[in-house]
Amino acid sequence: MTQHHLGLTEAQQRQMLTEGSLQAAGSGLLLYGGVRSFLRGRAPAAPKPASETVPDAPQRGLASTIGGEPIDAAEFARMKAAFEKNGGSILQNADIDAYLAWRAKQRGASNVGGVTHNAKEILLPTNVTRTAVFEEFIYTAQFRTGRVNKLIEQFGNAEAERLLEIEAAEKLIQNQRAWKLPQNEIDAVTKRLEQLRNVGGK
Amino acid sequence: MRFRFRVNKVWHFQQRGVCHVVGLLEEGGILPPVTAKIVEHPGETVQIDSQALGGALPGGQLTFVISHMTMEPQMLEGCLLSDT
Repeated sequence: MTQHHLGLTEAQQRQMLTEGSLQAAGSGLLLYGGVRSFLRGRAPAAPKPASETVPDAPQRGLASTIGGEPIDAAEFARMKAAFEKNGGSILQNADIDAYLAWRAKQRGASNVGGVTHNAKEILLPTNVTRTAVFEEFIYTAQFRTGRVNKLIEQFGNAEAERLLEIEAAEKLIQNQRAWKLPQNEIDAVTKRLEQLRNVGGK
Repeated sequence: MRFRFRVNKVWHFQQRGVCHVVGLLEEGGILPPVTAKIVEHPGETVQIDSQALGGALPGGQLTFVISHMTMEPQMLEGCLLSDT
């Protein structure tokens, strides 16, 4: 797979490799961990609140859910394809939109950009932002490298989640230029990072 | 690692046979993957595959991904999952 498959510039790929998201393997690039499940999305299964049924709906076009720039559809398609090629899966459909909306409501937030199950599976809204895609790939890297379970073992589940989200936010900010993350989305990430740090008394 | 996890809400990804259980960790910690017993349903177990990351929930609520259920997902709501 060439860099063009990922829709990333050489500099971007270098950044992702540095972050452990991409790994060159054999003659091609392997999406690694956080970024490894980049590409496999098929509009699959939807989470259902146990007592509710959310009918499948046709996918809408990609658009930001946090007021930022929507990720370029063609670029996102390439990222999904690369992730999928390496065994990853990105799930998007109306049911997942409902699930993410529920999570956002629980948090009192306007949206939740995505949820990562493990190193190979990500849930994203049908209207996904560029920053959300990169953030979820970072989480897959955290799973892949064993960082998730290591922190859970050290600090417990809740604190581990907070620390992992802090690490992801810091990576987004550090790589905002290489990954071409919109400033308004980075502003939101910065604000959330401050909140996460404050919760821990940092 | 011992744990007691109270399920508040279950979301079912039907096409993949995977559920998200959302709830409170009442005791200990969960290091997935691990098998959990359903206290209210003796003999029934679920496999806790991972902790879902992203969009952390308030009030100490955590989200785990589970599979290998032998019962209807909605029956888990309100249940206590335990290692023992």
